[in-house]
Amino acid sequence: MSGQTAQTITPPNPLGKAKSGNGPVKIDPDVLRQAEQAVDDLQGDYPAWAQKDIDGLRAAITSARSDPKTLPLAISDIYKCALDLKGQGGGFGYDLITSIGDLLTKFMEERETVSSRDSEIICAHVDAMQAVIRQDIKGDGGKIGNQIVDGLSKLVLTED
Amino acid sequence: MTAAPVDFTQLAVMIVDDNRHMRSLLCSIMRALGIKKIKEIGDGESALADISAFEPDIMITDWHMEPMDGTTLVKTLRHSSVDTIRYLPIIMLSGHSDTVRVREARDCGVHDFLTKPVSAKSLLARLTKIIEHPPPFIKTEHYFGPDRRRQDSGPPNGVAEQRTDKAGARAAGGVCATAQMSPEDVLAS
Repeated sequence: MSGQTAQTITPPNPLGKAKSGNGPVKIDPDVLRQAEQAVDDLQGDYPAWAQKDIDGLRAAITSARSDPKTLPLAISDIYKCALDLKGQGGGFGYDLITSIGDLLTKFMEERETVSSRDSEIICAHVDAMQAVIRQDIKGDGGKIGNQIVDGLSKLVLTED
Repeated sequence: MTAAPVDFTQLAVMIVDDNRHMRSLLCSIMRALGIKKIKEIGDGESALADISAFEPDIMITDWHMEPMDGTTLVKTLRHSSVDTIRYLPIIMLSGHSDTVRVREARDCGVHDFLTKPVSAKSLLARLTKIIEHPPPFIKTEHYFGPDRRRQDSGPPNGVAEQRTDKAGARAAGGVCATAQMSPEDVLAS
């Protein structure tokens, strides 16, 4: 035991101005509905945004294959695009994009090289995301979505 | 006691994310809440440059940014000599959900952590939690930031927590064992 003691400080709360009185607070259901509607209103823009990330992934894969000097940057770009797709898809109703992005992010984590087999696996993820956007598959994609995620998971498992 | 609705309209929010689509999403949610004073920033360094002039009431920041990432940004803010900056409520967003990263975010001094993708409901819940129960700050030799234990709606079962004992100091400012937990559990541990 370190014997460390902690000093507790109660700072002013700048968010206090949003609260009336000292009692409990609640979220106005209308405000929540408006916020959810605002997100729904952006759904139509998402496929074009996702397409840019998918294009970015393809460009990074090409770069990783073509020039060893640019490999670290290409790997970083692949990881970043995958993380963006993972982090945004579900927010706009494209949960399957988030699932595939999650698989690709995990596959790329701490990766320092990209073998030709790795490249095939990355391309399979990108092709799957492209199919989701092209066919406008929203939500988890149901049975087809499960098959895609299972197939990609198995592909990653066979990597070693 | 009757619960009062939260009035977000007077708040100033700084949104820091290098992805403009993510910023659009967050701004749309904030505007729908009635917030008019919103500042969009694309990286940590620009956030530091603009924070004094903008005077946010809360910051929502991404983790994975270049050249300065979210954790470095938060650590820098917590070292500020300006009280309104070093005590600033901060919610960190990340596509990462693994225990190690959530714990790292917590240990750099964020108020809360939200795994992307973000929903309006989850973001509102985090905002409301900080509004209703702003955590005290803890200062130890190795940590300065919000109390890392969960800020529940009140002491559990009416039992007040002791914050200044040694066990409390370890939990609030010390290092905790790693376990497989949800982001919420990690923040609460």
